[in-house]
Amino acid sequence: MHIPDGFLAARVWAPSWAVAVAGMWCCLKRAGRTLGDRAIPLMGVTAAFIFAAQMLNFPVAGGTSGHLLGGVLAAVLLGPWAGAVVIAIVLAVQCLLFQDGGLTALGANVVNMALIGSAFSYGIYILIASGSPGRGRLLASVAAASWCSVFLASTVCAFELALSDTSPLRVALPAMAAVHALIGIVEALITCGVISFIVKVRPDLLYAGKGGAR
Amino acid sequence: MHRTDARVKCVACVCCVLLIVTTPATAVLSFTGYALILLALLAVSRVPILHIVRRTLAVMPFVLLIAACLPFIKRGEVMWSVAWGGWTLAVTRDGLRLFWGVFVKSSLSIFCVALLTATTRFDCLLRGMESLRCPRLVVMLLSFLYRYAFLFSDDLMRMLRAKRSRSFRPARSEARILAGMLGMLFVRSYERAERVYLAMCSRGFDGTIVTPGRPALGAADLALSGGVIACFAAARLAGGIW
Amino acid sequence: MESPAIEIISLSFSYPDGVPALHDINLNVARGETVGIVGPNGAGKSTLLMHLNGVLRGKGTVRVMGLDVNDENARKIRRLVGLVFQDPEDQLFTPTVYEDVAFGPLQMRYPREEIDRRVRDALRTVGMEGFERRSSHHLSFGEKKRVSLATVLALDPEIIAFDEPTSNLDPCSREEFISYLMALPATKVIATHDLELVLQLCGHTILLSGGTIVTEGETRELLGDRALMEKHRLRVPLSLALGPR
Repeated sequence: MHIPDGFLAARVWAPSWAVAVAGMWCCLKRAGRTLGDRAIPLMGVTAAFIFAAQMLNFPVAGGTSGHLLGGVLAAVLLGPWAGAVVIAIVLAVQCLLFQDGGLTALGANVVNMALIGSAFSYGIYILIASGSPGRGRLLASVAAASWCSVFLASTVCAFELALSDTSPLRVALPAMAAVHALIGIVEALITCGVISFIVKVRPDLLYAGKGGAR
Repeated sequence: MHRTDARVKCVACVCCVLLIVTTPATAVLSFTGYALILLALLAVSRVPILHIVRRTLAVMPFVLLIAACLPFIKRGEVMWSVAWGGWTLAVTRDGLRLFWGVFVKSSLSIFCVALLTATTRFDCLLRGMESLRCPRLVVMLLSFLYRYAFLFSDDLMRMLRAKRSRSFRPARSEARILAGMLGMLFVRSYERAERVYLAMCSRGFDGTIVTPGRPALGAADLALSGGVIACFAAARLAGGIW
Repeated sequence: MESPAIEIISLSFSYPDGVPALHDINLNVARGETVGIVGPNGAGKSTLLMHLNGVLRGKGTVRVMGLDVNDENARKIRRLVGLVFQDPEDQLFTPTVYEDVAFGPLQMRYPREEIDRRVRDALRTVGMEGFERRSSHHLSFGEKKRVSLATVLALDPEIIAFDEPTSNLDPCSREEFISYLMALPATKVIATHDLELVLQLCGHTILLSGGTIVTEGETRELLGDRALMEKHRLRVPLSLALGPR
């Protein structure tokens, strides 16, 4: 889903950059307020974790494999603000180091995967897991949020491509949505697996909201 | 080129990518010019071309998506069509032009960025970005990622090896085990972050990131990047459309 | 009279989750002294070291070179007390050796020439000159450990606290590291399981167990007490057990 350069028209990538920068500024402020000075090493080191985690291949049916994207995972662990920052940092390094995603398209990629795929999807998680959920409901909400995160990011991506006149919406949308509905299932399963492990071992590490247990 | 100041390389790279993505798809001459300039830079920098080609493959999924769209763009003159039963698949000139434009722009842009990162150490790149007024906090986070990502992936490899040494064939619960591994890795990375925070505090960290000043730019560095940007702009003009 | 390098009066500390870690610690370290802190795993050695420069704060008083450890004096204290962590990966958190060693001086807002000089001097002291541009990730473990020490030396501290300075080092790197350590004029506090090291370097030793100071005294006497050592999951060092050298 990392859009390369050249696929987006200036009328799409320029505003996306503006939204991404404004969004990140906002997220950094909020993250600093909820986590304090520790936010800096915590977000940096967690970004390294997500980066490494994306390299681990999970076997999926039929000999194919998938990997974690981590938007919802980061948000559930560090909160929506720090989570979005973590994903944006990972995207920036992937763009610079591996040319995975373009420079001009980085803004759009941050909007899709960090702002929508992490911070916004955290809202879905909170909506379902509101109150103090049991293990079952917690994992169900993590799964739902993870699937939505991938699915929403891909549909927004399709809209961006269509707005750029790169591909007509009636082809791009169903194609992206269909592929990512499947990828979303893998993402949901992996995220659930990771969270259920952490809930068992260190439940205190889940983000507990403003002024929570941490 | 490896020794050129990272700041001017960053600026040149961004300018070139901007020029590339805003060139109209029909300006074939411009694209040829860009490719020649980049190839010349590649030759000077002695970066293996295979490295660049491999990076370019990253756009493939997107190129395929666009290719899949081709038959559905109905406007324009039909270049090529297949009739099959009651269906007609037609590829139009507009569709092909779109495909070509997107493909050449993305490959050339990747070429640019790959050339930048192949000739610049990541820590120099970060320092460069910082002197170019990229927020210090962002630079600090990027440097944390760079510092610890490979440490963690080594950790992950060790865990995988430990797992393999205890199981013969992929178990049914393979995915669950792998997810547990990631969970473990997160717990470790969280604890690592806590210790790093203490280590930062121990050396006087108080919430503000202080960075060293920027050294002066050499004339040769400025000339090189200025020259590259000028060549790109010339190629753009040669294409006839500004 | 000159104030002692470190003065701790009835210090207690519990982690945020309520687990008690230190209980009623009283301790004096004279200037220029080298003190060993020994004790089993989980005795609270690392936690105690973290209190010396105030990154952890408990109930009680900690005074360093006559200064109370509190928010007001934080910056001064951080400069006076250097902490060398057990895992150099925690201490070397930037991409290059230069940035790691320069981090402390930068935080102190020293001018650029001063920072460069401090980095150069600190690296020379640990025999790592010329490594400035190397990436910390690609150093050998022994080199990482020495750069960790340099990051602390760059602030010219009066007191250096070491957490397991010799763990994971091969015998040659260990000896090298010890020789660099011995050459330092600062007051040293060494928390370790390496009892041979304590015997070699420290005149005075503190036995910490279960978060309290069980006893303290002259190193050879304390480490030679077989019953005491085994009660606290330690062993009399071989060089001592095999008779006087």
